Amino acid sequence: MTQIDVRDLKKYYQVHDKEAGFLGSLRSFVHRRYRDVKAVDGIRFQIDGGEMVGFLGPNGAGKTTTLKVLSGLLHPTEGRVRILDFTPQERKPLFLKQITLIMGQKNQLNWDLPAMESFIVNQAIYNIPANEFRNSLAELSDLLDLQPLINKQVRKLSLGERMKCELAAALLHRPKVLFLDEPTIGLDVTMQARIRQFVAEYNARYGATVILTSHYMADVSALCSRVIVIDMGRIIYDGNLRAMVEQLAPYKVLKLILRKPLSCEALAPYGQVSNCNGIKATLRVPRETATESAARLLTAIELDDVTIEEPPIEEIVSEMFSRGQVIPNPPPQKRERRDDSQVLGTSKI
Amino acid sequence: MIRKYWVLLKFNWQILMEYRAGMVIWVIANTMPLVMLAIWISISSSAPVAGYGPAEFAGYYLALLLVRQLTTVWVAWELDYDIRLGDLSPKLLRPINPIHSHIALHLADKLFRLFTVVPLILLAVFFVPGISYQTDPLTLSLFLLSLIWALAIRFMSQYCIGLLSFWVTQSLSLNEMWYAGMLMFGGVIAPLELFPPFIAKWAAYLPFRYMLSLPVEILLGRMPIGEVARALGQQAIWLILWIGLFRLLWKTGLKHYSAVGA
Repeated sequence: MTQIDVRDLKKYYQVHDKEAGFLGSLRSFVHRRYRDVKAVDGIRFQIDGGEMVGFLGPNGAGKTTTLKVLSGLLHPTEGRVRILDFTPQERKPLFLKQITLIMGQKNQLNWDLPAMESFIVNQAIYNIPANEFRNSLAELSDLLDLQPLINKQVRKLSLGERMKCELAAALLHRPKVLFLDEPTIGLDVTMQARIRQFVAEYNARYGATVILTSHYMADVSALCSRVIVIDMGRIIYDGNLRAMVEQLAPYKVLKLILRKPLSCEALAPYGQVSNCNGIKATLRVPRETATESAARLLTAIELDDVTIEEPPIEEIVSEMFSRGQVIPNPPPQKRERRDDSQVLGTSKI
Repeated sequence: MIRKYWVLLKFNWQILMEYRAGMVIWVIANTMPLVMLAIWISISSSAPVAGYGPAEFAGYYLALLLVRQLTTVWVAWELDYDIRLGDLSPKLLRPINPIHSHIALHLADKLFRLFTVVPLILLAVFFVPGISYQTDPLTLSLFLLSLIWALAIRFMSQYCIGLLSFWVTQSLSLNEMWYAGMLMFGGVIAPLELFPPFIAKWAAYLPFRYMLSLPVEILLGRMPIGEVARALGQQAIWLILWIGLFRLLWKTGLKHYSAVGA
């Protein structure tokens, strides 16, 4: 059943340009020039109950803006959004009680008090009956190991500990729809995995619908079979993650360990050499003939080991953004893209 | 709703207690009426000013200090911060209007002042000779009503000013003007009675009198009951106007909200 229905959604921001420096600010004070920034420019998609969908896209693509519209924080400029049969921006209490938005960079917990105090306030505000509150809290404590944390002053917690408490605060009322905006940002790899596992468990247990944005490709590939790729405020792909990878990357990767060092040229006949140094080499071979290539290599060259692998998703996605989509002169403000490694480079995704 | 307020009140009380030292400083800093009192006592010690001698001024300014302490509002700063830096977003996600959290914080603060600074003021009133207040039950209950409405008007008007942060980045400078207006026409610089008649008459149409001076005037008992009733009516009108403006600004402002910084 469709739970989230977005049609032709547009969100334009009005911003004014300011030239640098004192004179620039004076000029912009006297004569202010406004222009529209098209953060989201006509997107449509439907999401069924219980689905987990990943939003992918470079910085400033419109992912966060979309989530803010879906959770009712922003009013759309145009278009229609229906979630659980509510219009988000009306912010009806019954709607707000069924959703949550978790932002990796904004907190709802009060810094001066232990997290437990904020939980108690949420219990009252969300009208959670005492026994449900106890159960919910016990479950979350169990899944997230909260027990040692909830009575410590929030500002004394580490970033990862605080994020766990934020998650708990956002889920005490057992929302049906979860919007997760960079929930693992700044966390170490172990904690990222922990949060991922938790989201998967929550989804399995309550059949909750999840929309996730993340810079870490591992988050998306571990949780979401469906991805929606957004760039410049438009959807450029919506569908199965695996299918996207096959479509964009019609090759597989052969990793070789050679018995004797060979030159790159010597390997060239067997596939596209993407990396070779001494006894290690990586080849790209067409998807359909991957096994044949491996067999040919085994007979022709002395090998210690050969593996056939799927190409890493982050590489594919960053290639997708750097290939067709990058425009030569990106307009300033919302769409700043300093360089590709920062946007979706292998290290950061 | 009462239960929610009770929980919010306890929550905000704990936050205030985390900042005990800061609270005490804020309370002490709020002593402009005492400065004015010193000035007026020195002026009136040779001859009374329009019927106000040192004892009358002492009675007036101690009452004003009391009202001022119990109507202190700083919500414009909170809103400005929340809106400009996007901290309003988590508050908007909850199924309760954010204003209730702000109200609860201010109520907790008033409770704190009621137990700390108010007894001190009452003690001062007791020891300063010649101070007389109207203390019959009717006057006291009208005083209390007017005090609560004064707090409500100060809160709602500052809330409206704070909400302007949806459109402009400098709502706080407007708030400074608002504050200056209150010093001038709210009875801080001088009791409104001492103003030239046409200014006093004009000031009665401004909101400032109903944010500070009116409860004091009632407590001093220098107004006939009919005039008190009329002034309370005007106070009620201001309160309703501010609540109406709040609703309008809140509704239109949210459409402008850009939820930055997340």
